[in-house]
This record gives sequence, structure tokens and C-alpha cells, in this order.
Amino acid sequence: MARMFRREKASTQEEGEIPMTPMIDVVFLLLIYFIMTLDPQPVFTNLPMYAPSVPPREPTEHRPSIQIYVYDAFFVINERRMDQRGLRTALERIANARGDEDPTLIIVADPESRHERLVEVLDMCSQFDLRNLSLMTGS
Amino acid sequence: MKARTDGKVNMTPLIDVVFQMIIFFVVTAAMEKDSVHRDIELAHAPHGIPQTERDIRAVTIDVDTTGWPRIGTAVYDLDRLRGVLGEARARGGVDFPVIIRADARTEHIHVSRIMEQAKLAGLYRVEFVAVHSRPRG
Repeated sequence: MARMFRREKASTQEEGEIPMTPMIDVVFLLLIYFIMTLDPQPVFTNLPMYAPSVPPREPTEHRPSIQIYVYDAFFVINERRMDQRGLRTALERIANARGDEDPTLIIVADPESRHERLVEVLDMCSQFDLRNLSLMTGS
Repeated sequence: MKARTDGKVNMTPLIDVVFQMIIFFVVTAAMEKDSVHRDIELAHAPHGIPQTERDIRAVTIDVDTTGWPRIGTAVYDLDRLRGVLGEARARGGVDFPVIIRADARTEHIHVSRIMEQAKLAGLYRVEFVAVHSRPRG
């Protein structure tokens, strides 16, 4: 109480000036508080992918493999042309129907397709937890 | 001395320090964002696994729409890129990823050429970077 009183008295003596020091103290504390509690959300995501000839993997002949062709304007899966939504549905069905082993998805991207299209497919695979992917470039 | 006679706290150094701190935090916060080249517009992948920690051995290659690979600010041709990746492999082994940050509009052929070089250098793990959110609009 004594301290408060003294401060009040000091401020009245300063000809009606606003005391800056406590204000800056508070700003400082707020700054420190917000910096400490700041929990930055990860901005980026990494979509993993293996080149087709990963040495440690076994040959995949006996496993079911599905080919997805990525073109700039559409996708082809099981020889059927699909848009993005159709592919999502198809991948969901594949993911739900899988047994003990993940089906191998061979993604064949057209050389002229935008990178965005490939990322869309990888994003869907990540969504349905399909991890057995390999990427090839179509001709 | 003047401050003491007035009975006031000298504000100038205090404000200086506060400013310095603000600048420091703003700059360090902006650094993460600036690590991606401004002319590269990443694709969006809302379902990807968020990137939390990264392998320090990982090599990050930026690809803009022209298709030239860049590491940091240096532009490489494919042969020199293979050399760099080969060196990285010699130092770090085979189990670290090559991280490709390609513009969403880059044609796949440019990305596949870089993957080809990584494969020739003996690196089989590739990761594509995307923004972990839905595209706006």
C-alpha cells in the first residue's frame, strides 16, 4: 500500500503526465507471456515417397498392386477415368478392403502434369493411410 | 544525470531494449517462412502428416516453375546436383530423405528428373513438401 501511495504521489507531481514505466512493464510481461505460450502450428507437411527400386524391399509380385495414372486434367485407376472426387472414393474403397498387407500403389505421373496433381494423390493416400507407394514417370 | 535530478526513469534505453527484442522475435519468426523461396507456391495437402522434426542430414531441393533445382540459393544443373547428392550420401548414408519443395505448377518431368538424380546417387527416399492446410477459396 505504501508503495502504491508513493507512486501515485509521484505521478501527480509530474504535472499530469502518464507514468510510462508501469505500462512498459506490463507490455513487457505480456510480450513474454505470449512468446512463451506461443505454440506454432506446423505449416508444412512432408509426403513420403519411395522411388520404385528401393533396395531393401522384397519384390512385390505376389502382392496386389494398383496403378494410378496421374494426368493434368484427370486420373485413371483400374482403367477408369476419374476426377479428384472419384479417385478419393476409389482409394477409400481400396483402403477399406485391404487385408493384412497394404496394397502397393504404383503412381504413374504424366511428365506434363502439374506437381499439384501428384500432391493431391499423395494427400489422399495419406488420408487413407496407404503407405506402400511408389512413383513412376509415364511416357 | 538529468534524469536523476528530475526523479524520472530514463526511458530511452528501456524503449531501445524493447524495440530490439521485438525486432529479434519478428525476424526469427519470419525466418521459417522465408526458408521457402518467395516465387515457389507450394501445393496443399490437408491430410498429410505435419512436419514436426526433420532429419538434419536431409537435403532440401527447391524447384520453381522453370524446373531448375536449387539448394539454398544456388542453382544446379542435373549433373552437379547428382554430385552434391552423392556427397551427401557419402556423409549421411542412404536412409535420409531428399526433400523436394516444388511449386504446385511445376511440370512433373522436372520433379522426376530430380528424383532420377537422387536415385542415381543412391538415395531412394523422397519427400514432397506441401502446405498443411486446405487451399483458400
